[in-house]
Amino acid sequence: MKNYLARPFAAGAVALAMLTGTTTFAQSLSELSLEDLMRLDAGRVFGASERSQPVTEAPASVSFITAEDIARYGYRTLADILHGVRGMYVSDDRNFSFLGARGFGKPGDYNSRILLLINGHRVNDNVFGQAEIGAEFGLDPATFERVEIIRGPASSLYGDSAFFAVVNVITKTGAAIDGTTVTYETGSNGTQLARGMIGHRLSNGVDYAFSSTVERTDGVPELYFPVFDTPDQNNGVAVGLDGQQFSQHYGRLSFGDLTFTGAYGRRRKDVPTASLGTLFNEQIERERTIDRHTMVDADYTRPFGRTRVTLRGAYDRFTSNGEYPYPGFEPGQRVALGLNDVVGSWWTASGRITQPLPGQVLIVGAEYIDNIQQNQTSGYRGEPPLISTNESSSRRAVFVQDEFKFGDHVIVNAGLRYDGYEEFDRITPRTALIVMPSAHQSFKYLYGNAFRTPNMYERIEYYFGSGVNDLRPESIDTHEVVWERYTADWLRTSVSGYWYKAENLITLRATDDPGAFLGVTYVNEGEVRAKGLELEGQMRLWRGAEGHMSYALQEATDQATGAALVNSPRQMAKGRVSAPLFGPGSSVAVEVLGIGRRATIGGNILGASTTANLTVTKPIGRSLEIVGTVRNLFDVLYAVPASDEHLQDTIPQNGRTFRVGLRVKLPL
Amino acid sequence: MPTTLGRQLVPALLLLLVCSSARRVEAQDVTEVTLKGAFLFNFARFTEWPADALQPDTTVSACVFGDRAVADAFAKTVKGKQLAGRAIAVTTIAANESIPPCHLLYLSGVAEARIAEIVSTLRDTPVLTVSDSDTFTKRGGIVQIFVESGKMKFRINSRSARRARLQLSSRLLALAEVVDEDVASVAAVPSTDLFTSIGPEPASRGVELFGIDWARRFTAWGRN
Repeated sequence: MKNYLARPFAAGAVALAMLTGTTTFAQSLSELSLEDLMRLDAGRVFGASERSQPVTEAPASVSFITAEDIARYGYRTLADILHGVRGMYVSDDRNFSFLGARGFGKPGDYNSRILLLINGHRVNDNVFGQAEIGAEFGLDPATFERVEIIRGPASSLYGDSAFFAVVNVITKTGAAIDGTTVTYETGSNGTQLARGMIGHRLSNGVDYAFSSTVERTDGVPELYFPVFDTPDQNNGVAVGLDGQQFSQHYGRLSFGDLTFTGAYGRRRKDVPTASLGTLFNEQIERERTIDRHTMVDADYTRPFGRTRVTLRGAYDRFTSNGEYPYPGFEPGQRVALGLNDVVGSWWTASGRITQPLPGQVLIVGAEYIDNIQQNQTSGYRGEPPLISTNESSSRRAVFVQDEFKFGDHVIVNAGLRYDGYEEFDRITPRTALIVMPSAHQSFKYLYGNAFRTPNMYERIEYYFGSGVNDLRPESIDTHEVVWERYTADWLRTSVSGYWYKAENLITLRATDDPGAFLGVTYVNEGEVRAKGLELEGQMRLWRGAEGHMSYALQEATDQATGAALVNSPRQMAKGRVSAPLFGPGSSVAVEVLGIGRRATIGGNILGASTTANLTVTKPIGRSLEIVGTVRNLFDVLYAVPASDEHLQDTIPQNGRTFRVGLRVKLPL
Repeated sequence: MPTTLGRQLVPALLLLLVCSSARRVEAQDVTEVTLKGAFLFNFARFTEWPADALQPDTTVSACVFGDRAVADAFAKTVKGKQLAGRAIAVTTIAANESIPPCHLLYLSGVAEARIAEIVSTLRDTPVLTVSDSDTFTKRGGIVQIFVESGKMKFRINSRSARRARLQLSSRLLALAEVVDEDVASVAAVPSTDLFTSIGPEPASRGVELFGIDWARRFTAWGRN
């Protein structure tokens, strides 16, 4: 199956050629009604420069997923969304979802090299630096207006963690929800979901939106892991340990220049993999994690003439409680339950001024983060804790970005940010040269630098010895060339080639330091070089059908060994099409995701996998809609590389699952 | 590996090829510029000018100020199209040129102070003023286009439309965010003519910061 990607890619190319051959496929804009025009996406991005701008002028290679895409393709988590995006891939270790980008998908790194934003506000936690993208994220994708995927380093604007990409989730306003919806879904493995949503914009300009979702699933009833296949471990079968329960709540209120956004999510997941050396198939004292995330954000944005001033204050709180069953170490004790409790809470205050000047747009900003709690407590139930840290810290930053426009065709964008931490400080630049021969085409050369600071977990002296006090931020330098083009008014294509060098990567190593409880430590020593090519085509076809295809070729090498990185597929090909086959407002949507072969931590090669998802939505009458989704349509057996928290080398993923739902929408 | 991408793409493409009828479109393959051109065409389509301002068999003249790309897209959209038997002519106006009389005037990338000047000059003339400026309807402009939640929308100042004696169709008003604001209580001076023309912007205008033309303010202070 070595050449398995070549065939579909050829098929895709043929299809694309067919489509380009006949422009009658797409309706010209002048034939569309004003109502239809108002449903088209205007191709703007906010998160690339912290201001709304056309994608062609943004200093990055950008993709976005809209609320309509989320509904049509039945996306249930941010992980589902990102897995379908050009060049990205998600691995689910049956507890957390890990995002790979640009060939870098180190298993178990908790997405700390991706910056996750909600409406421009950082939500990576302040202990692990984790961007939670599964159900643990805390926001239901049904509340997303759009998701912007901004590739490449963006520390010049956002500081820490904006290493490989920034994912900015923009949530729905009341005007976008405009009414009340109630949804009930049921599906395989005892999955049930209930969601209520209400939103409206009043004539006096007050806009409110609220949404609550609860979901539960039993998960896959039996999971077989060969590494545990002994008679005393139930022959490697974990029974009924894959359940998940979560609730996600969202509220937004705006009036005048003020917007308040709040979110609270709680997720409980049973862990079937016996990770971290726990007892396998333990039924009573189960391995499980509970994650909670709270966010309250106030945004005041006011125009003074053409100057735009934004002041922002936010409070975030993240807690994670893990229960890990270990063999008892006292007589008569069957299980010693390890407990790991993390509390992170922080205040963010920031301000930004956007000032158009003749031929330029200047943005200056400042940010202060007060990490009130970055605490971790670990030990066995009923015993005094082994470690209990009470940490707090703060950081401050100022940034400036200037965008010079030379005539209609050339933009130079330059940004610089200073970040001050208690132990170190960083200055990160980004520059872009954008040449636009016309309003429908642009060529970009982008250079950016980014950093990721050692997180609180990596700096726990008790676990990793005193050496971790010397940890410094890791950094990346990226060069990228992008060609974006809009053909006629129905096709958008994008080609991007990049090259990066990531240095001083914070890497786990064995240590003989007797002070390191875990016998391992973190050091700044990895260096990775990578290059890649990404292609993307997006089509608006005739009569409301649309299609999207992407291909990514990447090569990421560990400089110390010369070997390809673990969990770094060389190729990825993805396609999705949707069409209103069952009349106006309906949609039949198919997504096909192909991920090439990749290496595992155990030194094995995991074969390529191709999966497909199908979602059908159909309105019935004015206020009812039925939705059905089949994920992994062809019941393909596939797996993802496991992290070093696991004895398994690979973690099997779900086979075919389905869900059906009914949505009632009532106007207010 | 029993399935391959190819085998799955075939049914997917087949699905695509048997698409049936529906008129729902949501995609992201047009530029903002193209969209603006199509919106301007629709604004003209759903506006009725007073008979004295637009004689039968005359061309609807549309002027685009400050954005050549939008002018090109607009011209492309209206090519071969007619509005109730009338052709539309699109004129591009560069920043340093004066604005000739037009039925529809689109303004982009213009300083706030200049916008206020133009809008107040045109207040009682039958000119459909459109802009993407943030405060356009507040300053008395008729249609303001803006992007919200990734989609292009528009706001109409119905009072300004009335003063200009323009009849906007109910369909247009139903899709718009309608505001009814007056800028200053200037008595309406009904004018049948399109304005004659507006002179070019004076070259040495100061930099506008926080909505204030500081150069002008300092000069004013100097005089006191």
